[in-house]
Parts: sequence; C-alpha cells; structure tokens
Amino acid sequence: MGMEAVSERDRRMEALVPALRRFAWSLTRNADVADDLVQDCLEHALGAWHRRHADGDLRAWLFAILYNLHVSGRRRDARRSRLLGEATAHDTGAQASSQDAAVHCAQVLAQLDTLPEEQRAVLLLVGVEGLGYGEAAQVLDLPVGTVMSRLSRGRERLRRMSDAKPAGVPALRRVV
Amino acid sequence: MAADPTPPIGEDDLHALVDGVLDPARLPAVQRYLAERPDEAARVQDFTAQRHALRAALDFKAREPIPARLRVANLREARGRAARQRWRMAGAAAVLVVMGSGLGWTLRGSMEPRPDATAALQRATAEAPAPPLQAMARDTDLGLWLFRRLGEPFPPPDLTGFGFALETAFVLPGRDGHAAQLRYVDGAGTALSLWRRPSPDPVPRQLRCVDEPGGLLTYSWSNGETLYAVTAALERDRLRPIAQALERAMEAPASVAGPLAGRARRPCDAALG
Repeated sequence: MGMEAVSERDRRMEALVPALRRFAWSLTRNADVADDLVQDCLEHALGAWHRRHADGDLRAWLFAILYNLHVSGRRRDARRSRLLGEATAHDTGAQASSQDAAVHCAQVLAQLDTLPEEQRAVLLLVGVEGLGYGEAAQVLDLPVGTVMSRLSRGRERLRRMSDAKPAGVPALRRVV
Repeated sequence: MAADPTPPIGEDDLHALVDGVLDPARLPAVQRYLAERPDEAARVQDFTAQRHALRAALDFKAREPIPARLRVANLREARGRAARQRWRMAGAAAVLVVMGSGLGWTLRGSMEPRPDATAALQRATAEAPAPPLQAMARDTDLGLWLFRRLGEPFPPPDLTGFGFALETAFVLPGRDGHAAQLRYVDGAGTALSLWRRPSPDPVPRQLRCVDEPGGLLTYSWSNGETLYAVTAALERDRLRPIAQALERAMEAPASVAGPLAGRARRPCDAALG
C-alpha cells in the first residue's frame, strides 16, 4: 500500500476517534478505561486492516472491534482494578456548563446504566452515534430484528423510569 | 373493505421516525397513524426527548480534543517501533553509518562537542527510548512528516541556494522531546547536517563555531528553547554563511519558504571564526 493510501486510511480512522471515545466512555464511564479501550481498538484495527472487507463500513467495523474488546474485557478489568476508586462522577460533572445541566446529564446517564448492557449498547449506537439499524446489527453481530426489539425495549424501559418520576422526562424540573 | 396498500404501521416505523431514518414514503402514513392515537404520539415524543437528552449528556465526550496517544499516526509509529525493536542493535550501527559523515554534535548532554562523536552518538542511541525514525525527501513531504513527529512545525530550510539538496530527515525520540536531523548533500557528495533538539538551558546562545575531529566543522546556537547545530566537512568560509542564514531563518520561520541565501559579511564574522 502506498503512503497516500495509508495516510488516507489513517485520516478516515482518526475522524471516527471522537465518536469511538464517546461510545467507549458511555460503556465504561471512566475516561482512562475508555481511552484504553479506544487505543486497543485502533491498535487492533491497524493490525487487522488486511482482514477487513475492502468495501465494508469502516465505522461499523471499528465500533464492532471496540464493542468486542469491551465485552471480552479481560484487559479492561485488569486496568479497572488499577483505577478502581477513580470514579466517574467528576467526569460528567466537571464537563457540564451548569449545575442543572450536570444534574440532568447525571440522571440521564444513571437511568441508562440501569438498562441491561445489550439494550444500552443499541441505544448508544443508534441514538447517540447515529448508526443505522443495519450498521448496529453488524456491530453487535445480531439480526436487525433483534436490534430493533432491544431498541424498543430499552426505550420503553427508560420511558417508564422517567414516568415514575413526578415531572416526566425533562429532568431539569425534577431537580428544582 | 378494500385492502390498504400501505403495510401496517409497526414499532420499527416509530423508532425510525425517532431516529430520523424513516422512509419518506412512509411518513404520511405514520403521521396519520399518530394523529389518531395520542398515546402513541406521546410515546414517540418521549422517545425523541430521551434520544436528545442522551445525546446532550454524552456530547461533551465527542467534543473533547483527542489525546495524542489516540492519534493514528502515533499508534502506527508505536507498532513500527515494536517491530523495529528487534533491529535495535543493527539499527544503531546503521545509524552510525548513515549519520557518520554529518555528525559532530552530540544529541544529549551539553552543547559542547565531544571529542569522540561516534561514542557520543552510540550513547545517545542507546539512551533514546526508541530508535530513530527516518524519511527520505524523495518519498515523503518532510515538512509534514517532521511536523507530525515533532508536534510543532519545522519546515526544512531550503539550502539549494548554497548548493545543498535535502536528502533525509531523522527524528530521534528523546525523553525531553524529540531531536531532529536534516541531512543535505551537495553536487560533490559533501554531506551537511542540521540538528535541532529541545534546549536544556533557557538562556539563548549566539552562533559559535567548533572544529571537530575528521575535518568536520560545527556551528551551533540556541534561542533558549531549541538548540541548533549545522555540521559539515567544509571550510569555515563556506559553512559560516550557511549557518548564519539558518540562524536567521529559524528565528523567522516565514522566511523559510524560499531558498536561503548568504548576506554581506559582518564585521563580527571574523570573531566568530
């Protein structure tokens, strides 16, 4: 492969790094663990590039690698034990521009955390990362129908959670 | 009752609407469906609000600057480094050969030239956290290549005005920052090396000249941030104007765009040596 093709490929991979970091952080809720996961993902991708389908979807491929690494998780757990205690509250809180927004974010994420991992992953891939249903199915190695039913169950569950609270979904009002 | 040509509305239609991927052809049917069913419409509205809330809560992460360790070029380099590690011993020897003709300035320690440059380079290579990286001007845009590896712009000066063409760039990772060497060659095959590395001493230092063993001559200077040295087996009268032009160019990077040129001899040049 010529230098040009390599740098073009690097550019396309790197353009996806912010989304990969967000997905990894959503799954792990720890900045260092998430970036370790992204790094593992990119290293794996660089090493496995030749095995990739030439016309495959790069985004789905990278998200699939990352998700598989997360699920297999052996290395992540090793690191996590090292990082235990560096909890995530400041991660979210410090980034939010106001107290209300911080509380809102924390609530949304806390609700997301109560979902089973399989539903959470679908909600993140489809709802946050903007993957198509087919792409999400590719990432999770599931039939599209299963992705749809997990999406549906996850959303319904979050909705019931919000309904159970006095003021409904917009959590800003709840915290006043 | 006539069969409705539109397939019945499904849960997947409602989620597709929420996710903005609903087939436009289906949109009117879905809208009609929701208009007649306020409960379903409220669900879709809640799902949409939920989706926005989730995106908003996680948006900050995608807007963070990405850490250097996740730069693909850096990861690729690290992979290459692991492979090169096996060649480390051979690599150190090869570097001595490649750099040999242009070497008179030590990478580490003080700016004072060592009497035995080869030993100094051996030591520098052994101490460096990774073997040197190398790129040829004929294959690579060296300005970009250096920028990526040094993390700051270092456009290679154009020395064609002095008869020297840029041939190779080296970057040697160091604990305090990366050192770089540009190797130029003239028509007669004489090599000239321009070195730079982070300065350990914040005090700027004027151009000074030192004779090295083997007929090499080195001019070096520092702006307090970066140390520079230019080395070649040349007469003082020939290397001095090059060093002076480089010193000026390094202080005013904009002027590096074109070929550098010498200028009229200053009275103090004699004192310089």
